[in-house]
Amino acid sequence: MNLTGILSYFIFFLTFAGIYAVMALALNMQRGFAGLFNIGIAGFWAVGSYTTAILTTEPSANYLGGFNLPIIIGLLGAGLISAFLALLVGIPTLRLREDYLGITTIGIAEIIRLIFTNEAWLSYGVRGISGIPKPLRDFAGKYYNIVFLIIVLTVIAVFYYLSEKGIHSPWGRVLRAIREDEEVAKAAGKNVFRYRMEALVFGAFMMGVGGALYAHFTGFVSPEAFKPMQTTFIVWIMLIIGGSGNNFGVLIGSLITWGIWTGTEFITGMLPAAYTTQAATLRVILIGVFLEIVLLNMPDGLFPEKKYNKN
Amino acid sequence: MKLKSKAAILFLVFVMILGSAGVLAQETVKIGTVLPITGGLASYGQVSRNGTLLAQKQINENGGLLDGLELELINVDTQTQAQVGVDAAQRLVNINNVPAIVGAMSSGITVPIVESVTTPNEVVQISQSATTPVLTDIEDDGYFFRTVPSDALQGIVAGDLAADQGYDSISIIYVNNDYGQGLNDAIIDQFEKRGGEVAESIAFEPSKVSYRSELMNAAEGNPDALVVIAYTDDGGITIIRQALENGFFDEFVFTDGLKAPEIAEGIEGYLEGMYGTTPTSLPGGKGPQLFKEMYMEEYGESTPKPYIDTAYDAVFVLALAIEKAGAAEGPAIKEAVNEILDPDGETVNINEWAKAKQLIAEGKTINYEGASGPVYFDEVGDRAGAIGIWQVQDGDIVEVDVVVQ
Repeated sequence: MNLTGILSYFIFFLTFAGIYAVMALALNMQRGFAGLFNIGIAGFWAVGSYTTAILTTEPSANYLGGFNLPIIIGLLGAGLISAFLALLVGIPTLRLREDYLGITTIGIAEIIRLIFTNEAWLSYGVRGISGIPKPLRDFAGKYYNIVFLIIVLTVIAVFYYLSEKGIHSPWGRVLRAIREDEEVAKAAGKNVFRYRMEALVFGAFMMGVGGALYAHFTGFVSPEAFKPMQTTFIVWIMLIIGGSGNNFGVLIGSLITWGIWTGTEFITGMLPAAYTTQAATLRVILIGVFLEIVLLNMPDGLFPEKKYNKN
Repeated sequence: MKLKSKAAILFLVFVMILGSAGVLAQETVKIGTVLPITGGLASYGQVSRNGTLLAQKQINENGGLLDGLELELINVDTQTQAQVGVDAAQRLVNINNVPAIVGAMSSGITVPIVESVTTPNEVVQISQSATTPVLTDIEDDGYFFRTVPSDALQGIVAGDLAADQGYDSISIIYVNNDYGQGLNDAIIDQFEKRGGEVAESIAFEPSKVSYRSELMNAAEGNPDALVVIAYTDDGGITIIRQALENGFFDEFVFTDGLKAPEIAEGIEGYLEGMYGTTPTSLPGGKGPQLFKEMYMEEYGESTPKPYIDTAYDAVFVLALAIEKAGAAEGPAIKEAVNEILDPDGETVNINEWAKAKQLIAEGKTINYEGASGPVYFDEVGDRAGAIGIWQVQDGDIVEVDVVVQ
C-alpha cells in the first residue's frame, strides 16, 4: 500500500464514477427535468458501446465492420445512433402516460440486449467484441488512465454545461412545466410531445456517448455487461441520491453511489479469509443499508432541485 | 438537510474508499483472487475460493515464499458483473499492489480485466475457468495464462461421447453465452464428422422458470438424446427435470457445468448411467487423487464443482513463479512462469511445496503434477489439457475415463 497506488486507484475510480455520471446526467435530463420514466438505460448504453466498437475496431470477419474509424467518430456515432433509437422509441411511446413509458423502455432494453446476444453477424453474439482501441494510448503511455479521466471529465463538462444551459432557458422551463402538469403546458399552447421527444433524444445521445466511453475504457463489450442491475438501476440510485433535477447533485450522487458500491468491500475485506462468503454477502447487505440510510434521511437527495426565480 | 450531515456522508464514503487496506502492515507476498462470491456464479466462485485457500495453506505451512514470507490471498467479489469485477481487479492492482491475480470465473469478466487492468499494469493473470477462444489470441503481452483448456477440446470429446453411445441423432440445448456457444459449435462439428445428425441446436436464456418451449423445439424430429450445455444454477437443473416430466427426452449427455450431484437429486433413477464431460487432468500423476483427499480433509466433502482444482493450480503455479523470480513483481513472474514449468523437470506433487522450494533454490526446473494434472502452458498461455468423462451412478458423480487430446 503506497500513495501512488492509492492515487492510481483513485483515478481509475473517478473514471468509472465519471462514466456513470454521464449516464446520470442523461437520466437527469430525461427524468429530472422532463419527468420521463426511462428504465431502459441498459439499452442505450449497449447501443452506444456496440456502435463505437463496430466503428473503431480493426476490420473483422466476425461481426459488422469494424471500420477502423477515429475514436472521436466512434463517440459521436454512438451518441447519434443512440439518439436515433430514442427517436424511434419515442414516437409510439411518448404519448403514453409515464408508468407505461417505463414498462416499454425496460422491454426495449431487454430486446436490445437479446439482439446483441443473438445476431452474431452484427455483434459476434455472446462472444463479444474485443480489442476496442484506447484513445491516445501510445501518446499517453503509463499515464493513460489520467488521460482517459481527462477525456471523461471533458465529456462531463460539456454535457453539464449544455444541461445547465438548457434547463435555465425557456426550453427548460417548458420541460419542468410539462413534468409538473402536462395539461397546463398544453393549455399554454406548448407542443408537449415535441418537448418530451427532445429531452428523450438529448438524454439518449448522452447515454450513447457514455456507453462508448465505457467500451473504450474496458476495451471489450459483450452482452453480459448490460444487465439491468449494473447499467440501469444503479444509475437511478445515483439520480435519486444526488437529487433528481439537480445536475450538480447527480454528479455527486454518482460519486457516492459508486463509492458505496465498491468501497463496502474495503470494510468486509477486513474479515478473516474463512468468512469470504459471508463477507461478500454482508457487503451486498451493506450496500442496501447505506443507500437506505441516505434515502430515508434525504428523500429529495443530497442536493434537491433548486428553486428557480421568476425571471 | 444540513450542510454538516452532507459533509458527514461525503466524509464517510471517502474514508471507506481510502482508509482501508493499510490496516495491517505486516510483510507478506500478495496474490489477488477475483471471484464471484455473490451473483449468478456464486456457487462456483465460493468453492474455487476454497481451492485457492488450500494452496495458500500448503505453501505457508511448508516454508512460505522467498525468505519465509507468508503468502497472502486477497479476494475481491465480482458479483458476477463485469463493471464490478473490473473495478475490483483494478483495486487489487493499485491499492493492494498485487503482482498477480487469479481469476476471473467467466470469460465476460476475464476479458475486460485482461484488456484494461492486468496487461496495462504488467500484472500476471491466471484464470482457472475462462474457456473462450477469444483469450487465446488476446493481446496480453504474455501476462495472461489459464489453467483450464479452451472450449474446443471438450466439444470434440462430447461429440465423440454421443456418437459412442450409439445415438444417430441428437439435439443440443446450450446456455446462450460464449461458453455455451463455443461448446455447441465444437460438438456439432465432431458429431457430424462421426456421421451423426444434429436435429436441433437451441440457445436458452439463463434462469427462466420454464424451458418447455425450448425443449419442445429440441424434441422435434425425435432425436435420440439431448446434449445439455448449462450450469446447475442458471437453468440446467430445470431443463433436465422438465425434459423428463414432459417426456421430451430420456437420454442425456452433459457437459462440465452440470458435473454436480444436484442434477440427479430426487431423479436418480432416471439419470442413472448418463454420461458427461469435463475438462480435467492429464492422466498420470497423483495430483487429482491427492487433491481430493486434501479437500476432503479440510472441508469434509468431495470437490463439488469443477474449477476448484484449476484454482489450486493457478495459485501454486504463481507461487512457483514468484519463488523462481525471487521477487513479487509482474514482469519477473511472467518470465518465471514460462521458465519454471518443464515436462522434463523434477516432479513436484501438490503437497510438496517444500521440495519445490528446494529445487528452485538449486536452479532446477519443475514438472508440476497439479491438482488438475500436469500443468504446462503453450506459447500463448493456454493450458495443454485433457477431457474427463463422468457418469451418474446411484445419484453420485463418478469419473470413468479420461481422453487426451
